Amino acid sequence: MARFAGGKAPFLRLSDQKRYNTNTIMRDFMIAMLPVILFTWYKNGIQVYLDGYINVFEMLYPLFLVIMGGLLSVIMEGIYFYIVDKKERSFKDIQRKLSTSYAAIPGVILALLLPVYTPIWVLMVGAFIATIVGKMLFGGFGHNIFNPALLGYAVVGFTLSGVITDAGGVFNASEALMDSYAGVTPLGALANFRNSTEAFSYDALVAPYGSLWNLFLGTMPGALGETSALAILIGGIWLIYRKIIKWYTPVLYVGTVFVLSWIIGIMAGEPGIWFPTFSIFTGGVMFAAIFMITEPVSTPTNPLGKVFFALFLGVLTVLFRFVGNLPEGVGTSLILMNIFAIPIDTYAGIIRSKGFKKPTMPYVTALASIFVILLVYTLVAAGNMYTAVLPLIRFWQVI
Amino acid sequence: MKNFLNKYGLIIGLSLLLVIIFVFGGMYSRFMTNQIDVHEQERYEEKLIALVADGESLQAFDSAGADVTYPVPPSDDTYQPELIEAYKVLDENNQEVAMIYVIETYGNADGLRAAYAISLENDMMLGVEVISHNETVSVENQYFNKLGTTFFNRFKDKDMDVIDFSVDSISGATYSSQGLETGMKYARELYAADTDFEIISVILEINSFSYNFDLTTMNDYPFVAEITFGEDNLQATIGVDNDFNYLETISGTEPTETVKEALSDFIERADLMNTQVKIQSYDDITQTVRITVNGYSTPGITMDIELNATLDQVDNLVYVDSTESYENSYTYGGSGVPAIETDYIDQYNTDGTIIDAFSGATVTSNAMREALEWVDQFEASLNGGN
Repeated sequence: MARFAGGKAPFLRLSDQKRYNTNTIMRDFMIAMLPVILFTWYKNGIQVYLDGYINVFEMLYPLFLVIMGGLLSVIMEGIYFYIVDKKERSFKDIQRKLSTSYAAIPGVILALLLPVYTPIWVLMVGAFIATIVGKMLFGGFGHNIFNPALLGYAVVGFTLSGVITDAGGVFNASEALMDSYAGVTPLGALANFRNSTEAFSYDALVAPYGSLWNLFLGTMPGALGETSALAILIGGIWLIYRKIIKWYTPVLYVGTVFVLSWIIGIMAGEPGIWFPTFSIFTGGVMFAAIFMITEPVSTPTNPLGKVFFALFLGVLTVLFRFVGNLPEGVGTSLILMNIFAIPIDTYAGIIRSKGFKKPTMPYVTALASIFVILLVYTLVAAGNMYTAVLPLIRFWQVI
Repeated sequence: MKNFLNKYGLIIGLSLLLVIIFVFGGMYSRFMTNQIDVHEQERYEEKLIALVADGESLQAFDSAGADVTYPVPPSDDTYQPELIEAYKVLDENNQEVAMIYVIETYGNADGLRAAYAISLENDMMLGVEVISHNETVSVENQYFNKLGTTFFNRFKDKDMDVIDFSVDSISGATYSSQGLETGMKYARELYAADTDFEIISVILEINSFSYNFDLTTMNDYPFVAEITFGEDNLQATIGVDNDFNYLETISGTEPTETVKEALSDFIERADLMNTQVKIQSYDDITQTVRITVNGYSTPGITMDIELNATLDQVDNLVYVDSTESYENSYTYGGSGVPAIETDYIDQYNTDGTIIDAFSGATVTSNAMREALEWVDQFEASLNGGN
């Protein structure tokens, strides 16, 4: 109890304050997502319409998809409440339960994780997995182990990605015409370097999409809500300002991805800082940093746990991104880390309360060892994929 | 009914909402997907129309077709390019101003599809637009992307009323260049079949083609060709340059301008010998012949052949320069440029043997082998002279 020895009781939890109750948190969360939703509608709908590539009806689809994501989750959760509780089946009962369950959020996030041409029935499948399987079957809001939206996204990604591609995929109507994109997203371009003897090059990874500034703004192909680091950061600043999330969680996560990507870039013959910058602005790193790893239910709650969680997640993201078969690494790593959120929270809680002393050393050692092993394996495995690293490793005679 | 609605109304309503979203949302999604094809077709047509300055709209038509075959690069097989679509381009007054042929040819691979626009007003090739291809564009080898603006500009406002209707290839994307050039030639054939345009023709046969090993005239013309031309089967021996262009008539009847113009195209198509080695110059003071040989690159490897005092034997070979890089050699593990070149030259200078190709660098090796075999032939011709 050393951690609290100097404090003065009674301790008031933030969530007990009116300003920070769950309703407020969820409302702020939705407000934070607004810039992302508006940007994705602008980029995939309004701008393309203004450029004359699509008609009004097509312009509305990205917004429709996001709204439908939320609506579908609400309807499915309503049906679930109706089915499982035979005593409370009135409209008012269901409405009351829905109001404290924040049903729309998983659906909205799920929609933002999907490509613009995702068919509605695929969104329905994803919403079902997210809401019913990922959330309600675990006991509803506050009891889910996995991030519900992410679970829905993972199932859809692994089973129905071909359907989404056939329906039009990730490129909006104007992006599909960009010869320089050559039909690949930035992470797709990065995946082309697997088993290649070439060093990463700015011309191959960034130039086709404009510049790093374009990647920051989000004017590149990608899932609906993931492309604009700027819009996500605006949302993030709002959440930090409102004290809904801790600033260090996203910073540590993004920082870990940045540093490891930089090391891999250096080993692969590209020491430019553009490469780690490219790495954090592409895929779902920024989106996950602000909206997913800060989610209070499926991630650790104590500060030290958040630190460990962010560090582990950063390493795993790099591991899956640079070594895995899928170009993205964020979703897979986050789902995996969701499983370990509770043990990390527990271990970190013990360490935090007792300090770095003899009784807590096994926990510290365990977490640190796993982290170091993961870190080393990630760098070596990435080296094996990007064979330019191999001569360097041989030279060092480390492995 | 009221009881029923009270009991089940909510679940029915929610389920109905799901069904409505499924049905109408599905229709919306299907509409979005279908619109992709619509937009693609619109952009495709816009791309084609953009080839013609006054073009406003397209009108598909059935071309009369043409039976012409061309070589499949780099093999000796031949094929007929495939006409995919033919369009007439109309201006704002609905007048026909151009023809567009979408043709599929072989480049480095099959499926090199491009649109060729030809002006009806002046029978000029207006330009080309690549529609799709299977050419090499990978992280390591951006071959097809070497075909930049400079190359495509060679198709613009190109006179079709000429014998030598060709475009220069781009080094490093030779087969792709040739594929697009073949498409251009086939488009001219189709255009001739569909309009009253006549392709200029010439009667010309290349009887023999060889290097000029004569030291006294080597600087004037590096190659010698014996030709038969015209309806009267006139004969001539002519000297041509390294690009097979006419330089001078050595003997016989001087060819007409049309024949001279057609010469390089005919020599190239006749493909009578390997012309990888090019004679660059002969210096009669140092008694040295300078040659180049194309490897992966052009001009490739440059070397000097030093002759003895009596000009009947090769004294020594000297490495001069190389534009090779070995970068395309995935498995070659030897030293950098000019290791391969000097190895060949040193061995040849030592005992006159030509060593085997280096594994992983066969293109450069074979270029050197070709050059040294050329030196053998050259020396034999010198001895023959004595």
